[in-house]
Amino acid sequence: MQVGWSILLIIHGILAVFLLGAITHQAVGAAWPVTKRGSGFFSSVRGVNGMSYTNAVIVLFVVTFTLGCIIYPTYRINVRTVLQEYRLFKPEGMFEMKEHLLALSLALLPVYWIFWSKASEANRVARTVLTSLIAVAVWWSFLTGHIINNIRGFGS
Amino acid sequence: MTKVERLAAIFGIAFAVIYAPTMDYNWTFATYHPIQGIWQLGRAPPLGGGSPAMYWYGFVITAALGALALTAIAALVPDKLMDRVPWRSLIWSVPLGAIIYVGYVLLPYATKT
Repeated sequence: MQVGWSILLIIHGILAVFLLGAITHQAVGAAWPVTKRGSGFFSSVRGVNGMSYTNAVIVLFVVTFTLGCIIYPTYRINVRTVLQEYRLFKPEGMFEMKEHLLALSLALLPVYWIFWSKASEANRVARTVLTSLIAVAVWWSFLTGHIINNIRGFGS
Repeated sequence: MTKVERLAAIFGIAFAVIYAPTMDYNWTFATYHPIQGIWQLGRAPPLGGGSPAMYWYGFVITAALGALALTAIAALVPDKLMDRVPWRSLIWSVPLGAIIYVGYVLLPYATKT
């Protein structure tokens, strides 16, 4: 059974990497767009077409979130208790923040999808800030998951 | 803004407005006891024997149901009235405010030793 949870955790982590890449590209492209396309790395990252990432971001977010919900009880039983025993309050608090950031981001996905599918100058600011908020939530969650996994993850 | 855009924005705003106090005051819709695999409606204490009680799933359900209800009510409000509200600003500023609120509630984790 423990092996099954570890496999789910690894799939959760791999999907999170894909999500991190997609949302970061989209957020950078939206917040810091290129005015003139160049050939350099940063110019390429800034010059991505944000619209092409939207569906991938939503699918990856929902699937990663669902997997996280499935493995969450295992965290509560096997990991959080250890964090509390060793008085590791900062990582515990980071995980608390992670779950709230992701819940708030999940509720933003419908409007995020609509704003990107009907991208216009009128919704540019809202679209950019929403994408950036989701990107921050994904980055926070990824780093927190990585730290928690280092403390008590696979094989511990 | 089209009606669909506005309703999606209202859902996101309402979810954030309901979620922040829900996690603070534990207005959970349901409690899950992971060791026993039992769900209970509302806020329930841990069942004992070192078993934790999980409220977060219930927070999401509370906020989602509340946001759905508010969105349904908003759908009945005449477009003329709704067009006056700056939804495009509220859709990011309200969730941002909720994130700051949640961060403030969780601040003791950063200072506890």
